[in-house]
Amino acid sequence: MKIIPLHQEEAKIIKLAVENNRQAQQQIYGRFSSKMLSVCRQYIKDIQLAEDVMITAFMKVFINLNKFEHNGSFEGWIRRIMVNECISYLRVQKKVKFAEDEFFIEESFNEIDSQFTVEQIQYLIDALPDGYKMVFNLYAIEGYKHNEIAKMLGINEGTSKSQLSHARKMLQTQITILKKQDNGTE
Amino acid sequence: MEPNNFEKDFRDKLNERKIEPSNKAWDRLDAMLSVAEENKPKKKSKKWLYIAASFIGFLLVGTLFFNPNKKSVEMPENVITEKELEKETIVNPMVNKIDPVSNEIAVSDKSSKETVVKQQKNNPEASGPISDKTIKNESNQIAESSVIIKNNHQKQSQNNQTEIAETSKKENVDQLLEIAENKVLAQNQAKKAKVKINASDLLNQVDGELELSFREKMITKVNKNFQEVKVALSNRNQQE
Repeated sequence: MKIIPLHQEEAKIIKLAVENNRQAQQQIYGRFSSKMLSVCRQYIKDIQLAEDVMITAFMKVFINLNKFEHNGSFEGWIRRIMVNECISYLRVQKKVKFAEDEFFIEESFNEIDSQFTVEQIQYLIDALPDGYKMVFNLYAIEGYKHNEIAKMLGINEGTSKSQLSHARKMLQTQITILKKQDNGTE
Repeated sequence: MEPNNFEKDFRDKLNERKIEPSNKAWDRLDAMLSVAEENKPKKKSKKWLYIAASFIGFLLVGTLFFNPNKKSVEMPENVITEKELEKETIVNPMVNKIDPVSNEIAVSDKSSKETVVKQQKNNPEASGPISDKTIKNESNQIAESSVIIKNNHQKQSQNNQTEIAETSKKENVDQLLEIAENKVLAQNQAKKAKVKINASDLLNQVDGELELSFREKMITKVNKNFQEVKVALSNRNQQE
């Protein structure tokens, strides 16, 4: 019973924002900006640049707001625009290229039970090269499938898999180092 | 490839994280939105301009199609008036030439004042018809006038007059001739205008008729085709 009025309220605000009502736009921005900056920060290490990308993505959100169909989650829709903006930033501005190797190992690190803080996690992700970072974020955090990632990045599915495998390997070594450091200090 | 445990941990923690953007961020977005809003109405007005321009274009094409007399006729009209001018210029020298001839006749016949005056009277009369379209008439009338002159000459020969009087009257003759010539020219010019109007009217009429027939042709063609299609469709429907 509570969800329906909430959804109605959201639809009302969206309708107002489509008509360029600045208050409604600010309301949407206020509700999602902190979460979306976090998303952008996953991909872009520099917080200032991450904010710039977020602002451009929000512009796209408001310009294309009339195209939003109310059958999906509004937050998910905004998040997709953010992720796409980050990817295009990395690909266009930073000219990230993917090595077209299709070498990947299926392995799992289930034994690793991380107890890291968000800052530590972000530190680990920041240490990844941009190509690995994108694929890892898209696959592990956003939950896209390899064929979707391949389409988004304009690469082969195999390349996506190998990039993920490389990223995981790198993360694993980093995690073990961090754990050792943690154990040493404790 | 199932997500690993640490990946799940990563996802949960990252999804919960919130990073507050700087206060300037909204101001910047606000400014960008304002700029975008300012640009939008311009685009709309441009669209309206295009629509208006195309509408006017269609109107022009439509009027040209249904009233083609104005432009298509202008060109031939000019050509024809030029031709007419040429014709008139041909006629004018003829008239001018004819007058001196009659004068010479008068002088050579040593005509008296009376005959010359009569000739002058005849000349305007004759020059009236001369300015008519056909040159044949002119020559006929000139012939007539020369006949009259001859008659006058016979009468004159009966009345013996001196040569001195004749010379003094020659000057008068020249003056009168000039006046007559001027009259003829004025009449010719007046006729010119009349002829022009008649020609253009005729052309317009003819062109209008041509266009009408073209339009009728098109309409009948379309009608014919429509009827054919109708018959073919009804035949097909019956077969089915």
